[in-house]
Amino acid sequence: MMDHIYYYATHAEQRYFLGPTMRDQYNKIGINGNIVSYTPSGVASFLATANKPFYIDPQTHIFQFSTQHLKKNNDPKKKFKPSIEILASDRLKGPFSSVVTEDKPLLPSVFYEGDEIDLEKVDIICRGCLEFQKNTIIEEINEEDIEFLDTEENLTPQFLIAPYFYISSKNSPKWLDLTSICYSRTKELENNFPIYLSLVIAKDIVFDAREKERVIEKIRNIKPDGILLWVDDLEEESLSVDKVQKYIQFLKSLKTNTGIVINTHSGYLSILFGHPEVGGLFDGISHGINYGESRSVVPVGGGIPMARFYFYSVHSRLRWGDALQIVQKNNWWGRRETYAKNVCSCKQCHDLIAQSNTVEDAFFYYGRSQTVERKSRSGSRIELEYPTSEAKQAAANHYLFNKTREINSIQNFTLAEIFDQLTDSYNKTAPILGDDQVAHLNNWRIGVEREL
Amino acid sequence: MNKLPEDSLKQVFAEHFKNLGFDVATEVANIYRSADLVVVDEDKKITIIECKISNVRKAVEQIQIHKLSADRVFIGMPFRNPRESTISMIKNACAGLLYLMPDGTVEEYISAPQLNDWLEKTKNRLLDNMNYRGA
Repeated sequence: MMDHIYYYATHAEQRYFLGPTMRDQYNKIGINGNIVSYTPSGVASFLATANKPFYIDPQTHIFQFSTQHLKKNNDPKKKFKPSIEILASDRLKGPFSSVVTEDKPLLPSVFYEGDEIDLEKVDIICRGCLEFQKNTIIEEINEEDIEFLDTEENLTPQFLIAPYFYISSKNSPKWLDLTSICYSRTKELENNFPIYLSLVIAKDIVFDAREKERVIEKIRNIKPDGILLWVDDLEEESLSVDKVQKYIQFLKSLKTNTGIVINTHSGYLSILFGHPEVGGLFDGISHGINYGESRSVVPVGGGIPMARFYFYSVHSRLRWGDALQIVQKNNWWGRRETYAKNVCSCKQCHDLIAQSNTVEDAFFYYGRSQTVERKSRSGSRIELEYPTSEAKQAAANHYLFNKTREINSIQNFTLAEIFDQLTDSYNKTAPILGDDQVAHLNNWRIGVEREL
Repeated sequence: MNKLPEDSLKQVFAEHFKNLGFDVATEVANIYRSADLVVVDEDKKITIIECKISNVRKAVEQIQIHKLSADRVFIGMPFRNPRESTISMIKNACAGLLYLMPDGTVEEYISAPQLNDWLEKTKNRLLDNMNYRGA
């Protein structure tokens, strides 16, 4: 069974991880290093309650970029976020702390003397990274929370991650060398835990044959225990057939050189790649609570919040209005059974239908909005709708239930059956939303079919 | 601040319908999009107009969502001799075409058919948003 990992980003998200129904939807937790650094006792208490295997992402790559991304509101004049300051100075230490004290990004030259890598500095960051992941939580757990634990081992990560850096065809090749050397050194230092390589790469590493080989050669040499893959800003819905094929070829190369590959920002295509008939190319997938199918390595602005509805058969988080068009034009309202069969039968939809007068009322709950007025670029008044907090919460629950359904689907259906489902969904939705918005359903099917 | 030509176009169409006695509002939130111009008659029949200086294709895309809240939808543009393909595209989208003529008058160049995709809920929501704007 594929690992289903929820990424824990803020303490406000706990409701989605705990509770009798929600906790059955996933089996592992990924946590950002900065939240562990800043609120270790809060994280310890949460993990003691969740009682699930977890890992901590030390986020070493974030120090490579302009320091403005580490500051409040991305403003270069402001102070560093306190969580980042503590992660760099008190947890990871070494050259990471100088990013904060000197307000300068980490450059490869910090780790090099001429062309020679400074192994002492590598040793410092590997030890700091290991220490942080192994001990921060366990040192901060309080007596009350310990009572909830079966054993203290439940508060140690399932695996540890070596220091890592973002790799692209554009940035210095030294980042790849450094990532590889950090992995090897961490592996030498730690015998009690599996050590995973966090492979954070630009899209061109996946799709350009020469770039791919440059990275795969390193991985072939280090043979990591496992790989956490993050392809920068990869939107699965935007992939052409050719790129789906190249993605599969890349994953096959990874898979021959490691035991486990987990995609940290993944949509349905990654789940499909985990299908046994495709070769189980992913052993696990991870996503955030209501986002995270794709994510940029350098944070970008959020834009205007928009109500979205995860439409299972399209395997995409559609604008609520687009989802509404599909349901209305196919006339999937009337009977509850019709809605359940064609749109969704998750617990959230079921509960909303049970408490509403009609199926239509239940669906409109996901689109509830509040209206605010803003000025447009031309200076005129413009009115916008924002989703209400209860609509966002319902949409998040609905999304999480549907992700579980997707993961179960690769156990319950043959690839041929899944291909039929994708074709059927395209035929029902393309005449409403247009080919462009649902073309991924065909591209995924054809791309996978060609690589079998 | 100078108004964009598109804003001026909306205002001209808005004035036209106000003078005919309709309730009119510009930039009204509708299903998480903004409807350029909403015109309501005394029977609460709703017409939505998407105003564009050019790029009919984009207007046709944008108007799709508004069909869930309106009895009729139009694309409103300054006059130009339309190509057959443009006329077909607008007709196939079940929309109409309003032209602002060079002499300042408004002409219904393509009539908009009566729609039946709308929902009572989306219509009421649009009317609520329109009231919020102070139609």
